[in-house]
Amino acid sequence: MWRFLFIRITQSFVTILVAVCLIFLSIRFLPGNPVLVRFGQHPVPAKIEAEMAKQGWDKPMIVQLGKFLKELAQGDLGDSFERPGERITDQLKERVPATIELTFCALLLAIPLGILTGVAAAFWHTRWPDYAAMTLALIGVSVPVFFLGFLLMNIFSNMPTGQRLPAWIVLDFKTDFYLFESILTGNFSMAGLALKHICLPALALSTIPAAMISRITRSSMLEVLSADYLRTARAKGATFFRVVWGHALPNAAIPITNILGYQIGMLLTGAVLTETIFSWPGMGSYLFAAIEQRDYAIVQGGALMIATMFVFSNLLLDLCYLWLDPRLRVEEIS
Amino acid sequence: MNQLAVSNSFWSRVSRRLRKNHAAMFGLVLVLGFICAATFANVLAHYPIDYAEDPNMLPSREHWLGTDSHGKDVLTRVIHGSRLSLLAGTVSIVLAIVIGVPLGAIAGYSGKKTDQLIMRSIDVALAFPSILIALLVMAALNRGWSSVIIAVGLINIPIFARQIRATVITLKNQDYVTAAIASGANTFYVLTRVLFPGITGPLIVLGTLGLGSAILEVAGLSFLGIGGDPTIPEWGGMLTEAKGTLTTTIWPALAPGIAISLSILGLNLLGDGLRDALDPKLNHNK
Repeated sequence: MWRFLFIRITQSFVTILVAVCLIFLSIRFLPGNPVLVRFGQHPVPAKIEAEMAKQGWDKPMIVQLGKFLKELAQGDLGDSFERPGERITDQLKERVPATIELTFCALLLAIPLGILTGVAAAFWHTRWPDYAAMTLALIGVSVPVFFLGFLLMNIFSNMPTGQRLPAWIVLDFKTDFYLFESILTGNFSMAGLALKHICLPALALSTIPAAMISRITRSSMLEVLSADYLRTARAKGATFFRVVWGHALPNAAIPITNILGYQIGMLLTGAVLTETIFSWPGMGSYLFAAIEQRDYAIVQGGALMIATMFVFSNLLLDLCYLWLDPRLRVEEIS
Repeated sequence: MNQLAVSNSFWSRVSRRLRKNHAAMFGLVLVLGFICAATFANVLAHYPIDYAEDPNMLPSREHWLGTDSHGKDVLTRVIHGSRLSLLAGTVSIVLAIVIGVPLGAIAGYSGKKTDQLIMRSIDVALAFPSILIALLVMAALNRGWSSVIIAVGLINIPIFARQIRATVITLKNQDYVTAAIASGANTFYVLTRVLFPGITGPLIVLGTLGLGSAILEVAGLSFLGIGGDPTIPEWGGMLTEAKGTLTTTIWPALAPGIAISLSILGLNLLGDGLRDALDPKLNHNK
């Protein structure tokens, strides 16, 4: 078990490192660079060279990469090129929590909703709850986030968008997780305000994962429900609740966890779109603007954050497998 | 009934199963509808693409879906928009297949180090949200619809490679493959002639479902404002345009949004139906 953990964690770090290096190199090999963007249509070559030298972009690629990795080890991601003096670590410290809260709330909506509808559909297979749930799931998968966002904003036009808390609030938080912190410290009026701001974007982001979880729950439940041990359980007079939650769902949980791992990448993609529509001040919108401007340091930092979030949430899911599937535990121990 | 007259080949059985599946047939009708709209756009649309009248008109007899903020007929632009969306989606999926399928097949068939190498690189590629990869490709290439197609094609490669690898791994230990190898077939022959027929089923299903997500991704990129020429009508771009007037009217957003949703819905229904029809494990005694 510990060996497995060690290998997986090492693997995660290597994946992140390789991915970040790839981004670092690919963005530098792209034609066009931020200096050209800054000096506009008629640049003076000498000025460009001076600026490139100042930023260290005239050095060989491998030297630049080494410098970047060294600074990274010290926890420094550099400054923004477009807005000198803007430290990227500071920006990310504010924006990463915003994205994490958004995706977390979306999952918090999607998982129970998906599992409940999926279980209902499987239990009343080929009857109306099944059809209703599957129609909803199909619509959920098919409606794009950006269109749904429009609809939600139009229907709930009195809901606030564009920020995490009203502008008049004095922010005295220790962390940048406004919602989590106000819930944990018992400041419920503040939590209510934060919830009001997060609910529309989270809802828009949650439909596709919810629909996918619902479909996979239904199909894996259907497979499990026809198994002999469940017939035995029912024959012995176990209640509906016990059969579904005690016997069937734990066994159907592995494919559901599997789809969740795949979902996290899609959630982060969806987050970029959702953040753009609702002007949510998260990482996605920050990164999107930076790619447009070729702001190297931000793209690297943002990519690092996204890769880290993705790899570690997958690691977490692997641990869930160990917890969910007793067979794996036995194999690992022996 | 004359049983002898009924063809009993694999594909005719598949198509018979598919025809009995109402949801899949509904999906097929939707997909065919969009293909017709794209093909006959010039005939179906009432106005030329650039014909403009008063902006932001509500639906009326002249403009069934109203006009957008430039005064252009929304219905006309949605019909013409289906051309680019379908074409871009299809070409990018073909691109993903052409690269992803050989990669997956080689990885699955050769196993060991080649497999490790290919699958690890795909894991790294998957470690990024697809939109990030697409944005980077778009930044590298010149703005234009061809860049969008390349970007969407690239982000779909891992999906095909993974599925085909899994299929090849289950197939390669079957007796008929072993027999082919024993009778002296080389790797290329085995991959293209012996294994390929077994791959076509999953490939069709994946291609149909992938086309849906490709259309979504093309629209998403264009929605973010990094599509190609904005004068060519396209659903995602129409939504971006409608964003400006969202507080006053939702009509210009409604039609392109519903068009994207319906085309994806159709492809999903068809893809699910195909999966069921092609799955030999499901017992069809019909």
